[in-house]
Amino acid sequence: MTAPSTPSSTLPATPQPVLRVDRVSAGYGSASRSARVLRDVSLAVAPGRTMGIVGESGSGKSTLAKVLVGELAPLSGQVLLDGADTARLRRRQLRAARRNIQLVPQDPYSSLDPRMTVGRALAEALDPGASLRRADRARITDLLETVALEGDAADRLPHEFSGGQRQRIVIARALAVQPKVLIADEVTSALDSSVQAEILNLLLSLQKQADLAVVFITHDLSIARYMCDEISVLYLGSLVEQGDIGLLRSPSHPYTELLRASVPDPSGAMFDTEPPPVVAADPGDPANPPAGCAFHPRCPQGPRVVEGRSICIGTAPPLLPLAGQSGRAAACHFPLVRAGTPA
Amino acid sequence: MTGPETGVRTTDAAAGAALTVPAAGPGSEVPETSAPARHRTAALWARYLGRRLVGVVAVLLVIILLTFLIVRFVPGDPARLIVGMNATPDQVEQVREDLGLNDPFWQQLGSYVSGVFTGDLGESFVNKQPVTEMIGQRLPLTAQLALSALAVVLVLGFLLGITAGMLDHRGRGRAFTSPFTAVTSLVGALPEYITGTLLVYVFALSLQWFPVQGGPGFESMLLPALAVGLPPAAVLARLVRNETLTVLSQEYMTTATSKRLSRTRLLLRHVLPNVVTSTLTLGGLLLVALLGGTVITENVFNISGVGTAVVQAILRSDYPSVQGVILVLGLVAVVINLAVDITLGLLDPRVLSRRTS
Amino acid sequence: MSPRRRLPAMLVTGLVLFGLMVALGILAPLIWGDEADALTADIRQGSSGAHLLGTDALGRDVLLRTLVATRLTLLMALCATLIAVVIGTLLGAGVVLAGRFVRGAGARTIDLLVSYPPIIIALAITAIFTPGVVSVVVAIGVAFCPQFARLTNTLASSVSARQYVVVARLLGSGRTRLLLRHVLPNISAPVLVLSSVGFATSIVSLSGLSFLGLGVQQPDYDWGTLLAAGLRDLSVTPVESVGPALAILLTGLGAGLVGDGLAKHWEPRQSVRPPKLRRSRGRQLTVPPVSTAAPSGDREVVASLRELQVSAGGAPLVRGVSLDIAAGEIVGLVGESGSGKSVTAMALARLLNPSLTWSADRLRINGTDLQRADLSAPTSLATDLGVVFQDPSSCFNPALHIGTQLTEVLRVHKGVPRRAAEKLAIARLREVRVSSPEARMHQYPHELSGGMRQRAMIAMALLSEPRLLVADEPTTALDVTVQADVLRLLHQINTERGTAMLLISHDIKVVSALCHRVCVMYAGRIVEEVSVADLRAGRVHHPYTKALLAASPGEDADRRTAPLQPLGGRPPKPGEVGNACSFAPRCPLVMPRCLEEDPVLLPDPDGGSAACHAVDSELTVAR
Repeated sequence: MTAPSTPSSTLPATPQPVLRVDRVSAGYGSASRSARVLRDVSLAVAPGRTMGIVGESGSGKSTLAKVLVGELAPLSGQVLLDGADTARLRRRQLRAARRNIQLVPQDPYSSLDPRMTVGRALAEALDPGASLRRADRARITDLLETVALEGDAADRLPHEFSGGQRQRIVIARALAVQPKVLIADEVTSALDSSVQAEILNLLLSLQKQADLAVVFITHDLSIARYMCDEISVLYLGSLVEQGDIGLLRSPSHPYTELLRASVPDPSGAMFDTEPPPVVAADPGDPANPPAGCAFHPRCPQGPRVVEGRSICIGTAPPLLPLAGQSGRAAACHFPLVRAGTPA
Repeated sequence: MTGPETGVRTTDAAAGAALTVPAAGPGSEVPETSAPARHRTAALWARYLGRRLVGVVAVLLVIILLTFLIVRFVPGDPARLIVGMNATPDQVEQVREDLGLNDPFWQQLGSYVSGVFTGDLGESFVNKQPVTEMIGQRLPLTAQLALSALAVVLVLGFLLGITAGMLDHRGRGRAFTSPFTAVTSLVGALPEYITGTLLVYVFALSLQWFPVQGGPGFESMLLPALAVGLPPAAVLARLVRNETLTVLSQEYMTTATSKRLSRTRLLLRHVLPNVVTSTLTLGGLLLVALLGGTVITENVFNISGVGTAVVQAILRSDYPSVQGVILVLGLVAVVINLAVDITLGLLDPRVLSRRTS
Repeated sequence: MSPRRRLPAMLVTGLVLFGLMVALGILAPLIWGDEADALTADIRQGSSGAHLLGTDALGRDVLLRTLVATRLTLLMALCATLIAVVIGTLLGAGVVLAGRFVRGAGARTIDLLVSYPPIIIALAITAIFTPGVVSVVVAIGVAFCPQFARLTNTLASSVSARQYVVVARLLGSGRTRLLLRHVLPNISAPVLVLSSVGFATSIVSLSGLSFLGLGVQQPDYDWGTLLAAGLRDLSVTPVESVGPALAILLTGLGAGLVGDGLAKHWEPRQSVRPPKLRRSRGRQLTVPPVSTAAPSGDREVVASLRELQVSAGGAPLVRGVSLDIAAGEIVGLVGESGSGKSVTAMALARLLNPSLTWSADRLRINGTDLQRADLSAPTSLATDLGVVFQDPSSCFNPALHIGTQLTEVLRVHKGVPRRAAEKLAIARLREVRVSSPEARMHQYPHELSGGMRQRAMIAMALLSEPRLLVADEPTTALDVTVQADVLRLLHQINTERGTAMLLISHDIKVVSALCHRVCVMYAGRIVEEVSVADLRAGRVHHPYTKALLAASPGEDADRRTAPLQPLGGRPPKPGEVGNACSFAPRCPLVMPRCLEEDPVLLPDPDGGSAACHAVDSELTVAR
């Protein structure tokens, strides 16, 4: 069951991160009545690497994506691109910085202007300031070919394409900018499973070519496992566990373990053990999470199941590195210890 | 459940434990027990009505200010307009004094506002009748016309619309849909004064079934009510048809169908409330627009309501009457809007928790 | 589809009508201007050869006057519309561009203004200025400003929140460029549509004010004043009203038609028509089709379906599906969107949209014959069959309490008294682990979380103790942990109550976790039927099933060592299917025979069946 995580020694030394997120909190509403839905989230992504953001609805995944692309200003904390705080950049630099972080949104139907031909949409990406009519046809054809579309697609309107083709156009548009960081926000959740694999493999090969840093947001753990090098697990706006991809196989945080055990297992083994019914409780409001550890009302190892764990109700556990597991951190008073891993 | 006894017990205990999960804040989706739920509903209503009342007060103040400003905006000297070009300067000055036009702006506004709140809207320039009295005499007739028209709109609009929607949904409407669309767009585009003229000609002059002159009572009110009500009824019927089709295609209608209910129960219990809600949201304006139709139609049928009064008053520069009638019509519009909002809140609890209107 | 689409008939009719009116407006005063003012002794004449529409009180020809009045009426309406559109659009769009506070307050103010009847605003304005051409134009223009402001406000704020505007911002486009390149082009069409509708309204309202005597004054005249004169003479010369009334009506109608037509013309998605259907007629089956019958013949069959055909307007959605479900069995139907899996399930439950036509050689649930498509389903279905739908947020009626909806079947069909039904419902809610069930009964669906709603839905489906539960993508809209919970619940219900289930899913993992037997659907047919043990072991025959397994990331998928194998191409649209195997264009094993003959389901040695020429040898060996 527990496969050993990829030994980090065999990998080349991790390069310097291009994107760093440092203790970012964010929320919606006015300054006086803001609802925080993201609290103290930190992460770093290096070129060529993929950071997976995993969590359920209300976990703050989409809010994090908005902060990363600059659509939402963080209430506190910094987003650093190449070491520079994006909030402190002047207008011109900011525009350049923004072009360095591109987004592939979830819904390929609403992310293309219905009245703009594919060619023009790509031309806009190549140079938003120039006239779209006199765009470089050869480069547009090139771009379309990188995502396996015919060159004549440039003259057609988005509604003439299928969902998978649209998503490829969106990816081509994001890559036209030659960004350093790509935010992929649930890119396959609107697609059929046979198309899904195609988009995932396309992203992987394009990432390899351009040495892109990718932030891959998904609710699907098996896709995260396939795509990512590192994982950050969010629950009600806070990081509960972070580390290399191995954490999905042997989680330390009970929430990650719950997620892992919830992936439908084709063998039907998931019905053999019944988890304590507390997990079925409602997660609560992200803007107003339960006190202490936000997960405590649903935690199968928490105060509702195990005696004497009142600390989980009183004190929020900090995200601390786990002893004996390099690069792994979890926010839990009682992290799971597995056989075979030094405690 | 029929599982192992112990298993059942833990399940129940745990479900019970879930109850004591600290309830999330006011924005939370899920209240935990029924008493707070009822409190919550009351609180939601209070907030909903509170927000609407603030709007009502704001609109009322704006209407009062605007009707006051009607006289201030008049180009040239209103007093001169009233007494005519042949009057002596003394006469003009006398009228200015009577109207309070020589007082400072704020004093005029103050006395106007206090007049409005004490029910004193001044008196007509033309016949010296107090405006409040004039409106008091004429408003019942206008109200009767508007309410009859409302009945025409609601009955015709909903009956036709739902029937058309149901027929269309069952695929039997092919032959029926195009004529329905054609007729409703034609009737919907008819202005009240043309409908009125046509009705008068056909039913009053040619067939002589109904009197030409409108007035109180069923016979003299029917034609005017139809004139006011038919065009909006056609528009509403189209709206209701579309909404019925939308509601019928919702998933909860499939759920309801899976219960194999009788057609009447399906219609009354599951379709109608939702159609009314969505139609009111879109068509509330239609009801307010009935007021405008009433004003015009009164003039076609020569009904002595506030509509004929305001037109005559405008033609004679009888400003106090104009101000009074427009103020009262504004008030009625506000009341209709409020009634629509309250009906919506009663029919669809979701609007209570919605952030904006 | 040709790039140049034909203009809708509505638009053409509207434009022609409108063009005629404009031509009249330009020419009529030049030709008949003097004649229309000529006084004659023929006062209040009826229709005659000389005066087709009669004469008025001063003996002037009404037809000519109506024609000449076109210019003034159209000009006034044009000016009023321009005022409304320009001021309204500036206000509405301007508010969106402003800061957050102005945006909120502005939208609310516009909302309040819109709820006030325009004609009364217009009356107030005409009261200020003396009645006349200018004052009435200004009055109508200003009165309709709020409606345009509201429209442009809603449109601009919805467009500027669209994903493609967000992305364009990330690409570095400035605010002005965003407005010019994305926002304006996307709102211009509806604004233009509403402008032409607004023009129709202007004509009607302006004429209305003139009709009341508050608009155009003597000696000028427009259609409204002519109609007012007609009304005065209605008892003597009724024909006098016909001209102006028709003119107002036709122009209003023309402008309205132009608006509706433009709306139709510009809606890009509406114009996409399904391609012409190629009927596959006289398809000869070489081998009689195998029904995917329950593996153990001794168990009672709760649902039985033979040769189900469903089509939408001639395009087949389901093409000959046969299926048996035994008591206590969970059967999975898996396939991509458009494969016909949900349509099959809905047909089985007799819940198909009435616009679809269907037929079957047999359709039985719990022994009840439901085959006649034209009869409505018997009420016994309500208690024999429970249905759980995909989206728990939309499958409860938003206007009714949870309790009302849960108890409805018991009360209507079993005559259970209200109290007793509520008690049963509460017990059932508790069984499916809905917290504080008593309180839930008095709540509205929107007050429950998604997971709670889906559990309540399952409780509702189980309340009448059905033998069969049809679950159409019951976990697709749910979070993973909630999905696991609901799957466990379904498993528990099946093992403890022996409820048979038909589970529809696009997710082959969900299906293989829960089901006993799985049917894979492609383009409206079952292409493979396999026991779950064989599916889990990968012992499948059909290339499509194999491709589905290879494309879905499992436990052992690895992007370096074992990458996912994508399946190229796309499934055929309904109606694109001919005599060939529908999977042939995407199939790695395609042979000439596949393009000539659609394969039928053949049994395989393991007890399953598959429909594929390429694996025929594997299948027929068993015979």
